[in-house]
Amino acid sequence: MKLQDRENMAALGIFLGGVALSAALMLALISQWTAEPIRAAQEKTRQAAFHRLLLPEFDSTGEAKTFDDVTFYPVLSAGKTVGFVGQGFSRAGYGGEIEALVGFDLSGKITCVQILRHRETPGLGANVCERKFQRTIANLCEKVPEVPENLILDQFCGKSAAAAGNWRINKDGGSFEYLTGATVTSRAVTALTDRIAESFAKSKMAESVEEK
Amino acid sequence: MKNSFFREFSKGIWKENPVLVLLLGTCPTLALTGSAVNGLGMGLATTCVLIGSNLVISIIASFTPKKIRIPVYIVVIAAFVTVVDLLMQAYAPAALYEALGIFIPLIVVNCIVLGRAEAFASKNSPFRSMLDGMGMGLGFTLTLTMLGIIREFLTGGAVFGIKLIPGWTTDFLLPGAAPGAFIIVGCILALKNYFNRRAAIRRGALYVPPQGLNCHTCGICRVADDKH
Repeated sequence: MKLQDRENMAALGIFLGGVALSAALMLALISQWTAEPIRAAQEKTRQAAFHRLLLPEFDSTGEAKTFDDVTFYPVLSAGKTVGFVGQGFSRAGYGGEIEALVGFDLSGKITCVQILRHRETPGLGANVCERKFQRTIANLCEKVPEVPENLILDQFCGKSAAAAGNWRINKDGGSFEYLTGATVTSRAVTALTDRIAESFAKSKMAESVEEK
Repeated sequence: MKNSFFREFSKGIWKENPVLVLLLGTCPTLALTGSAVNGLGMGLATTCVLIGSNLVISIIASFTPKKIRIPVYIVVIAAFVTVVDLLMQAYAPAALYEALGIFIPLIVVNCIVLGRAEAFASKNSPFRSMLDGMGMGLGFTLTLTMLGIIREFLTGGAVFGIKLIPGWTTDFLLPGAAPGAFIIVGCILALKNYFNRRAAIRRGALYVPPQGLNCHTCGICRVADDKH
């Protein structure tokens, strides 16, 4: 009897098992082979996100501390702390969670805000979250800036974390601009930055470094 | 003979284009062609899977028990998709992998891959199957890239991330969303059929779709034959 016409349940099971096993073996090999490059690639994107926050001193990241749902990473340069990065998320976005990184220098000022992860509407809410450099024919040869500008996120730069606690967009009576058509996202990003900055001020991390 | 090998390869690009003629793989076609780069990346990833799965399936088809051939093919396809996924994680630009993200594992259930395995690779030699995979993959890639270029240009006046017309409005969101993609695919289909028919009429013949695409000869529905 030809193998192709077999109907015996055990034979079918063994054949399928054999195929699955050889597929698994091949995958195990390839997975082992790519494990190191994948780790390197992920490390690179993570580092790049931090790097963009606190230019140009950054060389490594210290041990994380969590305070009020916000994770703070000390940013080290030659073993010395030069600033902090606060990582927190908000569920108030239009399309789900928004995760942000906020950089602080040692005086407690915000250096930069970056959105790590979001699912906002492309073209509307996404414009609040993304720093994108627009290539045109006119600037075809220009270098892409490390931190492309974003009018909403750049508003927070230079603000002191001590002043946080009541940051709102001007539609709600606050002092921050929002993007027309993306009010919900602007509101969520402002509230998230506010929360991260407030818990940074409360945690007194910046002060504890200076004492040392 | 050489001529027929070339036909095996080229039929996927125009005559039996998987998106525009077979109308397979519509989900990635609509979901992933928001920009030209995404379309190109998805097309190339699918092409790699198609070549690999077609090759292996045409080798094992002759001794695979008929009753379990579909699960066996799916295991083979899933293995190749995982390989492509791992390789992309390791070596593709982070932005591309992020954009294609969840759609890479979904190549497993892309109709084009299983469709070619069942309708072509299981009945043809490994070399022919590889050519078929390459041609179908290339046809898929070209269509996705073309669609990506059209959609990216309509939404932002840009192509491959380079803004060609500086003042182009960014408020026209329809082509960037899935419904807009559907409309554009429809327009392209209509154009393609128009050209095919006109060419047939010029030859003085009736336009007939390529053989092997109607329900009587398509292999996929042999699934029904399994009931004795």
